[in-house]
Amino acid sequence: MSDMVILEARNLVKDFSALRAVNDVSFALNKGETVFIIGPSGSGKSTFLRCLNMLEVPTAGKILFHGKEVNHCSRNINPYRAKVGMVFQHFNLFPHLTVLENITLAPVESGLLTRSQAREEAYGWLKRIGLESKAEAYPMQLSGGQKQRIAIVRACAMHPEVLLFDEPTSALDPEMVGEVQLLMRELADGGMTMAVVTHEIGFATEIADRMVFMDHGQIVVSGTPEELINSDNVRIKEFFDKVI
Amino acid sequence: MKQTVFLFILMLLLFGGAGAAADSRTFTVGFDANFPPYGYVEKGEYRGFDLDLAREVARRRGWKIVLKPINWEAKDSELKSGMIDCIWNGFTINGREHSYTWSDPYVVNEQVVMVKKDSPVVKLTDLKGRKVAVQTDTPVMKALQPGGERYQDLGKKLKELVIAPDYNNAVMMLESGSVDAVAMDVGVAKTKLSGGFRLLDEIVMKENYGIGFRKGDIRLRDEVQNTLLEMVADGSAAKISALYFEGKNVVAIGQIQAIDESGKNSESNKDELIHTVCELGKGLLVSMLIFALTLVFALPLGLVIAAGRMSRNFVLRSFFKIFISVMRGTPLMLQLLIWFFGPYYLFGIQLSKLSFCGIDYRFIAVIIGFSLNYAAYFAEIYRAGIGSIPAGQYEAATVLGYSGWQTFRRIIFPQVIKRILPPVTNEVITLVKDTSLAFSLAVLEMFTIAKQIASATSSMMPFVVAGVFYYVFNFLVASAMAALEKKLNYYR
Repeated sequence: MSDMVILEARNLVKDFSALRAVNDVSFALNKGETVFIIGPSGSGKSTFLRCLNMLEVPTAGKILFHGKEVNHCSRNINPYRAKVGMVFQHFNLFPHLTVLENITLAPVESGLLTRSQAREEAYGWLKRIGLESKAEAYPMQLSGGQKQRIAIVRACAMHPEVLLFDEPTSALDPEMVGEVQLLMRELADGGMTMAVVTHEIGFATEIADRMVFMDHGQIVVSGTPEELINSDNVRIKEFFDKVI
Repeated sequence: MKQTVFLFILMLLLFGGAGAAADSRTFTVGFDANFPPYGYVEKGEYRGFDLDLAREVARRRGWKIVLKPINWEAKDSELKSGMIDCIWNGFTINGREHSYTWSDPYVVNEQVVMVKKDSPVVKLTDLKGRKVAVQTDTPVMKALQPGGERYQDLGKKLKELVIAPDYNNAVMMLESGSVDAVAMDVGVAKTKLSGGFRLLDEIVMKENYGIGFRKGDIRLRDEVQNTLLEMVADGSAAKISALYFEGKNVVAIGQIQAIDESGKNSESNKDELIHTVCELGKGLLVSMLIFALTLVFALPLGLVIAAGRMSRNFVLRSFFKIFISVMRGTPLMLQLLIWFFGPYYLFGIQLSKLSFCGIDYRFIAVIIGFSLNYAAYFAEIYRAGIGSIPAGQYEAATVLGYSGWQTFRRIIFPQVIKRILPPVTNEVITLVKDTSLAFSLAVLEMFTIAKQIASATSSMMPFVVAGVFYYVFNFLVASAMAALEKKLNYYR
C-alpha cells in the first residue's frame, strides 16, 4: 500500500433543502487502500459516497481525482465516472440485457475495449467467480448473490481505479452475503482501491485498512479497525453496542 | 325503505307518462338541422319552412309536435325503429320512390351549381375537368356518381366528385378553393349566395320534395296530407312559404304529377353482398393507409413531444404541455377541419394550390391531423413509461460512464417499450376505428362508403360488413401487439 492519494474530498457539504446530509467532510483515499465507512442510519455515509462520483452534486466543497478538481461545472465528468466504479445496494443490473451484455456494453460503448476484448475479459471474470454458465442468462434468472457479483464484475469491466460500494450486502439473504464478501476480499487483496459503506461491522474490521465513523453528516473518527473498536468516543461505543 | 321510494317513483313515471300520452298524440318529425331554409337552427331554436308547415299541421290536428334533428345517414333506422314518425325536410322523392310511403309532392326543387362570383364557369359543360362537391347521400350525388342518371354527360367529365358530410362543409370547400363548384338544392344555395357566390343558369336536375313516412303507414300519411291540403286551400301554406322564399309561394301540392309507383327498382339485391364487400374493400385500403401513415409519423413524434414535455427548460416544457392539453382536449374531427381549412381562413391560401407531389391536400391534412393528435397521446404514454424506470437504472448507467443519449438509447428506451406496449395497443386499436373521422374532410374511407351504400340500399348490411372488417383488422393488430409483448417477455 502506497500513500499516494487518488481520490480526495475537501470540506464537502451536501444539503437536501433544509437537511444538511453531509457537513464539511474532508477525506482522502490512497491507492490500494480499502476504507470502510460506518455509522448509524441517516448519518450521511451513503450520501457522502454518492457525492464522491457526483451521483449527488455537492452543495459546497471540492472533489479531487489525482489532484484535479472534478466537480467543476465546465468539466465533462463522464470520463471521471468511468474511472470510479460503483456497486449499489439493489444491484441495478439492466434487466433487458444478458449477463454478458451487462458486463461488456459499457467498455464497448465507451471505446475502452473492442467487442472481442470485452467478451474475453468478461468470460475471464465469469470463470473466476464461477458463473461462466450464466453468461447468456438474464438477471431475473439469477439469485441475489449472483446478481451482486455480476454487478461487481460489471463495474470492474471498466477498469476503474476506485470502486465505491454502497451497502453491497444489505439487500441479500444471509446465506448469499458470504459469496459477495469473498469477491470483495479478493479484490481488496488484489490491490483495488475501495470505499465501502456497510453495516457489516465484523466483515469491515476483518478487511479494512482504515475505518471511518460518520454521524450527523460528519466524520467523527477515522483510524484502523482496532483504533475504532477501542475508541473512547461515546457515540462510537454506543453504535458498536447496538450493532455487535 | 329505499325500494319503496324507488317503486313509488317508478309508478309515478309510468302512470304519469301514460296519462300524458292519452291527452294528446305526439307527432315526431325527423329533420336535418343543417338544411336552410327547410330546417335549421337560429338563436337556439329550430326554424324552417318545413318545420313551420309541420307545426301548423300538428296544431290543427291537436297533436303535440316533437322536432327531432337526426343524423342524415341514420334516417332510415330512425324511421323504421319508430323514433320518428316521418322525414319532413326538403326530402327528395326521386330515387327513393320505393323506400317510403310518400305524401304527394309539395315542392318542385332544382339541383343547381354554385360557384364563386369570379369563377370562369358559366355553363355546365365548363365543369369539365374540375372538382365538384356534393353532400353525401343526396339525389344529386347519386346523379353524378358512376352509374348515376347524369353520369354520362356530366359526372364522367369531372376531375373529381368530392363527397362532403354536409352542406356547410361543401360550401367551405368552395370558399377555400378546395373545389370549383358545389351541386346542391336551389333553396339551400340561395341562403348561401351572400358569401360571394353565384348560381349557374342551367340546372343539373329537377326533383320533387315530399314527406316520407314509414313504409305502410298510410293512415298517418293521409292525416298529414289532408291537413296540408286544407292549409293550401285556406292560404296559410302560402303565408309560411312567403316567410322563407322572399314572398313567393313554392307550395305546389296537387299540381305536381303524382309519383309513378310502378317505376323501376333501382337496386337489385342479387349481387348486393359481393358489391358491398368489394366497395368496402377499397375503402378499407384507404383506412389502412391512414392508419399506417399515422403510426409512422406519430410514434417517433410522440417521443419528441415527450422529451419536450419532460424538458428542464420551462418555456419548452410549457409549450408541449399546452400542445398536449389542446390535442387531447378538443375533438379530432375539429382538428381535422382546422388543419384542412386553416390555411385558407387564417392565411388566405387557396387550397387548390396546396398539393404536394400530386397528393391532394385533403389527404395530407388528414395525415397531419391524425399524426399530431395521436403523437400527443403517445407522448404521455412515453412519459409514463420513462417515469416508471427505476432511478437505479439511470444511476447504474451514469456510473458506468454512459452519456445521457447512450443511457436513453441502450438502457432506458428498450425497457420503456416493453412497459408501454399495453397502453400503446389501446391507442393503436382506437386509431383503427378513428380512421372513419377522415370523412369530415371528404376522404372516402371504409365507414363513409358503408354509410353511402347503406343509404342507397336502405339496408344495415353494409354496416355489418364494415363492422366485421374493422374487427378483423383490429384482431390482426391486437395479435401482432400480443406477439411483440410475448417476444419481450424474456425479462422482467
